[in-house]
Amino acid sequence: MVLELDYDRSLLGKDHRAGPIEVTKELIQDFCKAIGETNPIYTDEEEARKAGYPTVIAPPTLCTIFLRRVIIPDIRLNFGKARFHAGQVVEPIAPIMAGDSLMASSYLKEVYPKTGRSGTMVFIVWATTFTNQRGETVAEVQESYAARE
Amino acid sequence: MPTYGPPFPGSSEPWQQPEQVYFEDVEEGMELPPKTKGPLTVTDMVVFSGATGDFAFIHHDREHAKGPGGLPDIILHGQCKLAFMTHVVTDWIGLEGRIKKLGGNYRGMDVVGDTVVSQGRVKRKFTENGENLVELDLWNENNRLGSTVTGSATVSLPSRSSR
Repeated sequence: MVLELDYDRSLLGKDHRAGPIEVTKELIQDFCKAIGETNPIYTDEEEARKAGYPTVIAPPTLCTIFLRRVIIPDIRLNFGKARFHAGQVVEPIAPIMAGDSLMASSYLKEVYPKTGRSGTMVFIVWATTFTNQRGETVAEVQESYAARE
Repeated sequence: MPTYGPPFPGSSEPWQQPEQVYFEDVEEGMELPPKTKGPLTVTDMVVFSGATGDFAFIHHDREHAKGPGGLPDIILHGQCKLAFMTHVVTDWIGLEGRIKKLGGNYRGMDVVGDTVVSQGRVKRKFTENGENLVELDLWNENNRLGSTVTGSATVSLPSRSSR
């Protein structure tokens, strides 16, 4: 069977934005508690300064929790009932710090089928760029969802 | 701050910065010190939901996760699985190392009661554009299911010679 994938191709490359997202010390601290992270460069200003940062920094994957702020549309894929979160790739480019105000910009990067032992799945990949208040890119994240028959 | 007790092993112990690893010390096949999280409790998952604002019912509402959700139990957030895996890397590379790229594929569901051990191994070391880079294989080992996340990372490490 040849899979004739159909989805809203006009979404490919089209930006969806969210922000400003305020990164606070409290938010970083709560995230650290929730993942069992105890390195003080994330929670103690003095330790962060000793490590060469002006204030506390965010753990490298903190930005992934902001992805859900971007309202992404249904791509109207003609395949699969169940969808699940398949994976994430993070490229930290510059430190995200307490006091930062981030903008997120996401676009549909690709949609592709993959056939394995458990049948065919279709992967939907969204790419997001985070920039800070100075316009610097701080992180790139790719998030994949899989649709299963 | 609310007190909900130390959620994970080691999180109430005083912090000790691991000794800085240098590019010269790295050998292919070398294993990174693992990190254990769990046994996961409902509270752990709710704490993560609260910290991140992710209140999808599959992460905190057992009745709905098992019923309409068709899941074995409340499941751990993808972002939390990734953060667990990343913790092994950030501790290993130390203050002078940098993550260039890190990712994971979510292959299985970690549920309440499970213990997750995040692990890593050096796949390759190489120098590119003057940067000392190390490729790592990473995974989260669930006590019931085997690996529930498989991933990889590229990190840069300081060199002893440039000190």
